[in-house]
Amino acid sequence: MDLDLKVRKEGDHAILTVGGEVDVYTAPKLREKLIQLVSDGSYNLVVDLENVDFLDSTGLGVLVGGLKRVRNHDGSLQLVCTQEKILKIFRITGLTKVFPIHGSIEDAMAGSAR
Amino acid sequence: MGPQVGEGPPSASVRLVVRPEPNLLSTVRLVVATAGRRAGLDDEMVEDLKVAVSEICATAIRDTGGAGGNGDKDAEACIEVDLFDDRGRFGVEIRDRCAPDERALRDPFGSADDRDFGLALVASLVDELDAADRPGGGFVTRFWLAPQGRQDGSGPTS
Repeated sequence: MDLDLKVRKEGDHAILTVGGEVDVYTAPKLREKLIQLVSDGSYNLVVDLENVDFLDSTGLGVLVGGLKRVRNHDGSLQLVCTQEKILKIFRITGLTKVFPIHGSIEDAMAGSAR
Repeated sequence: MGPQVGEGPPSASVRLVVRPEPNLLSTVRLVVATAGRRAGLDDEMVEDLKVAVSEICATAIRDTGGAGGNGDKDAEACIEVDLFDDRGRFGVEIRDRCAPDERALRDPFGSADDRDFGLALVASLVDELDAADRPGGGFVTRFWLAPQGRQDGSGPTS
C-alpha cells in the first residue's frame, strides 16, 4: 500500500492528511512533504493520522523531524489520531509527551492557537 | 522457554523469504498478520506482531543498503522470517545476512539512533526478544507472543 498525502489550508494552518502505511519505504515521501510545507512558509501544521493503517519508528522519526522544523520558526505541529493501535506506538515511545495529539482537526487547530 | 537463539527454531509453520527491499515490507506485514490471526492472536497482538516483524526487517534492510542484494549473492542476502507455534506460544525468528561491520557503515535510511529506537519499540511489544550473531555473518532475532489463555500450552485455567 502506498502513502496518500493531501494538503489543504485553513487560515494560518496547513492540514496534512496522511493515509496508508508509513514505514521505511514510504516515510521519505512524508518527510519531503513536511519539508516542502515548511519551505513554503507553513509553520502551523496539523497532521491527520486517522487514515494511517501502519506507523513504524521511521515514521515517528519523520514526524519528530517535522516538529523540529516548525519549532525553528516558532510554529507548531499538532497530530490528530484516535486509533488505539497508532496511539499505542506514541505512548510506548514516550512521544505523547512531545506531540499534542487531538481527537479532531478542529481540536488540533484550537490547540495550536493556545 | 523455547530453544535459545542459534539452536535452530522449532519446525516453522510459515516461512517467508524476501529480498531486503523496503517496498516488500507491506507484503511481509500482510503475511505475518494472516499467520498470527490463524494462530489465535487477538487484534492487538496481531498489530504488535506486524510492528515487531516490520521493524526488525527494516533494520536488516537498512543495514544491507536496501538494494535487495545483487548477482550471485541475491539468495543469501534474503531475509528469512519463520513463524512457528511452540507449546502454545507464537514464535518468530528472523534471519538476515548483514555483516556487523556493514551495520556500522551502511546507513541510507536512518542513523544508528533510529535503529536503536526501532528495536527498543520492538522490545516493549513482545516477549523474550533475543538476537545473536549468525555463523557466516548476519543476525538471528527471535521473539514470542503468547495468545491469551494459551501460555505454556496449558490452556485456560479454572
